[in-house]
Amino acid sequence: MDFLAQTILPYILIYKYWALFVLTFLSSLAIPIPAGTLLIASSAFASQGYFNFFIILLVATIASIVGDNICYWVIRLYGRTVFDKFAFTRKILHSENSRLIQKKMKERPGFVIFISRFEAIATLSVNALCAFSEVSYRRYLAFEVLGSIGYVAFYGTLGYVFGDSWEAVNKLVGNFSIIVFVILISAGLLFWKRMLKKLKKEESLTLS
Amino acid sequence: MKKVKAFLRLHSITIVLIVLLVVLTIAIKYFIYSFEESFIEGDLHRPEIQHVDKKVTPTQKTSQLEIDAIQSWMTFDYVNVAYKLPANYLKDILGINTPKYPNVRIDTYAKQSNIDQSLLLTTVQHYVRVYQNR
Repeated sequence: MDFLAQTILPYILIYKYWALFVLTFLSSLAIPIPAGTLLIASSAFASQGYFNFFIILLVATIASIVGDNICYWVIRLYGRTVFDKFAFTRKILHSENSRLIQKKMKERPGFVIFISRFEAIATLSVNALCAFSEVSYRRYLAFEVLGSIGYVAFYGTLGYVFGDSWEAVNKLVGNFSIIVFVILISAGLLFWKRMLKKLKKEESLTLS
Repeated sequence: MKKVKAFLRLHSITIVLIVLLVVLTIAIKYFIYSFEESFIEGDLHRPEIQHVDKKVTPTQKTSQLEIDAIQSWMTFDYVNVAYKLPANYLKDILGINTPKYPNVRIDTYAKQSNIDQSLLLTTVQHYVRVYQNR
């Protein structure tokens, strides 16, 4: 928290909404900036009258959407070319399991896109997965916008409601996001396990 | 040994899931513990909404921020707004002459003016307290 306070929060206080936009945008591009904490702190400052809460929500939502979309398009346009250059990444990209996941993602991307907005690493991974799977941009955008609105509203409201105790709330949210992250990984593994089982079943059926 | 290896390979996902379940249990336990601790220590509380007199509309909030919470990374502008001080109160009383005021960090101003950071911070806290106790 001290590091965050010393480095990032003063920019928010000095450059206000511009700083919030730039920092949230950069965090969407995989730069390790704690956007959730930033949003909680900015909303807490809004509760003290320093910012307008609704402008905070608007700015953070737009920055998040723009950042995620750039990330999606960069990976969609150049991701395969970059991955094909290295043997290790090429192997992952063209593996049977990877193709299976991409197929599933293309069929039903909604819930995964929405829920992943609440965790930075998950957001980036799902953006990449959507881009590799070539999920329809319209569908991606719709769920991405919904997810971003939900994420900004969640963190923003927490910061605004708890106001001056935002640091304690931020600590709790940090702990909670570990829980969410573990659940997401477990869900992914369960999905993987089910898919492998299904694949084996199909294989044995075709053999018989 | 071969049997163990084969077992691990066959059930690798299940083993990882069991480990994740343990991690999840610990994470939930820790979350509940830190939540309770924050409540007991009084770190977690909603800001009070007070209606001091009729001049204050119901939508206006008067937050009761602790003066000790002022830190050197904060700007004078933020301190003015959060503690409801007149815009030039700190400028006049501390004799601040930087054109960047109030959009300057307390520690940055201390550095620029060759003042001890902690001394300036204590002075700011003191004058905020003086203003609020008027």
